[in-house]
Amino acid sequence: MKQTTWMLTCLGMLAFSADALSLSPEQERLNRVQAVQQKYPDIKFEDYVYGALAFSPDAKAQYENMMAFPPFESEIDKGRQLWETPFNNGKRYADCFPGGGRNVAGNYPYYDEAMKKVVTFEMALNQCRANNGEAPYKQADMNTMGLLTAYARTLSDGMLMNIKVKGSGALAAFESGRRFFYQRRGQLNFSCASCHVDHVGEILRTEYLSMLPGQATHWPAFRGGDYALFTLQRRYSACNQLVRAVPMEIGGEEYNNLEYFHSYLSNGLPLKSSVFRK
Amino acid sequence: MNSCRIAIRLLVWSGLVMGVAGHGARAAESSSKPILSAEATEALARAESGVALAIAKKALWTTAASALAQAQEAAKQQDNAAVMKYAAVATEQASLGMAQVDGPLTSQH
Repeated sequence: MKQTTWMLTCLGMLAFSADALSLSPEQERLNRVQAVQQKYPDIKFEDYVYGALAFSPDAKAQYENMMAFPPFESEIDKGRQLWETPFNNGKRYADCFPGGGRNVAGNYPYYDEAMKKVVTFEMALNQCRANNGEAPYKQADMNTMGLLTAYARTLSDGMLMNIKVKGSGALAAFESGRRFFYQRRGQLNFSCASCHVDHVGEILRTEYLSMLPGQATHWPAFRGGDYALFTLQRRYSACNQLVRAVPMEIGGEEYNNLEYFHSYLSNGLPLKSSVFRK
Repeated sequence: MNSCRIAIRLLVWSGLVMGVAGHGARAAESSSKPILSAEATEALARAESGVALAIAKKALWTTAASALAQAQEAAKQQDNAAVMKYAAVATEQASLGMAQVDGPLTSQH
C-alpha cells in the first residue's frame, strides 16, 4: 500500500512538472497578460499596444500629437508606390491576398504545414513577388521590404491579432520562439524576458520597459529623430546587439519562430500601423 | 661609338649593383621583422576555432567577435603579446556564450 501511494505521488509530481514545462500557448498568453494586469491594474488591456508609452501619460500625449500629422507620411507614400506598382506581368500585390490585402496582416506569422516552417508577412510579400516572376526583396532592406511592409500593414490597421498555433509542427515552432525569448544571450546575460517580463514598466536608463503582450502590434515603426524604419525583426537584431550578442539573420528561422511566439502573445489586440517610437 | 658602349656598360652594371644591393636590403629588412611565436599562433588558432563553434551554435557575443578581430589584426603586426591577450578573451567569451545558451531559461512561467 505504501509502495503504491509512493508511486502515485511520484507520478503526480511528474505530471505536474511536465505540465509546468509545457504550458499551452493560450495559457502562456493569459499568464503574461494577468501578470501585467496585477502589476499595473490602471493600464487597460487595449492600451498595451502603446508599449512603453502606456506607462507615461506625458510620453503618450507627445506621441498622440506627433501621430496627428505623422512626419514619416512621405515614407509611407513610398511604400504605397511599391505596393501599387504592377509587376511586369501586370498583376499587383493586392492580387496575392484576400480582400486586396486589407485586414490580413494580423494573421501573420502562421505555420505552414506543407513548408514545415513559419511564414511571416514579409515572406508572403516575397512569395507574391516570386509567383509573379519578380526577384525577392532582401528582408533586411528597409528601402524596399521595409517600406513595402510599412504601407501594406496600414491596410490592416485596427485588425485584431489572430495568430494560430495548431498541430505539432506549429507548436514546435512556437516553443522554439518561446525558448529564444526566455534564453539569456550576450555578454550582458539578458534574455528578452529579463526586461519585458521580469522588469516590465520599470525604467532602464531613461526608458520604460514595455510589456510583452502588445509588442508585436505596431511594426514597422519609425524610430528616433531621423524616423529610421524598423521592422519587428530589425528591432530583435538591435535588442540582441544591445546585450552584446551577435544578432541572428533577419528573416532567418530563429527570428521567424520568435516572431511567431511574440505575435501570438499579442492576440486580441489591434494592429497599429504605422507608428512613431522613440 | 666607344663612349656609347662604355655608357651602356656602366648603366647595366649600375643596374645590377643596385638590384643586388636592393635585394640585400630587403632581405635584411624581412629577417629583422619578428615572427609570430608558436604560442601566439596556437592561441589565435584556438580563438578562431572557438568563435567558429559559437557562430555555429548561434551563441557568439559581439565582444568575442571583436576580440578575435583584434587578435587577427595584432597577428598581422606580429605583436605576440597582443595576439595572446585578445585571443584569450575571444576563446573565453566564445566558450561562455556557448554555455549560456545551454543554461536555464529566465522566468519562463
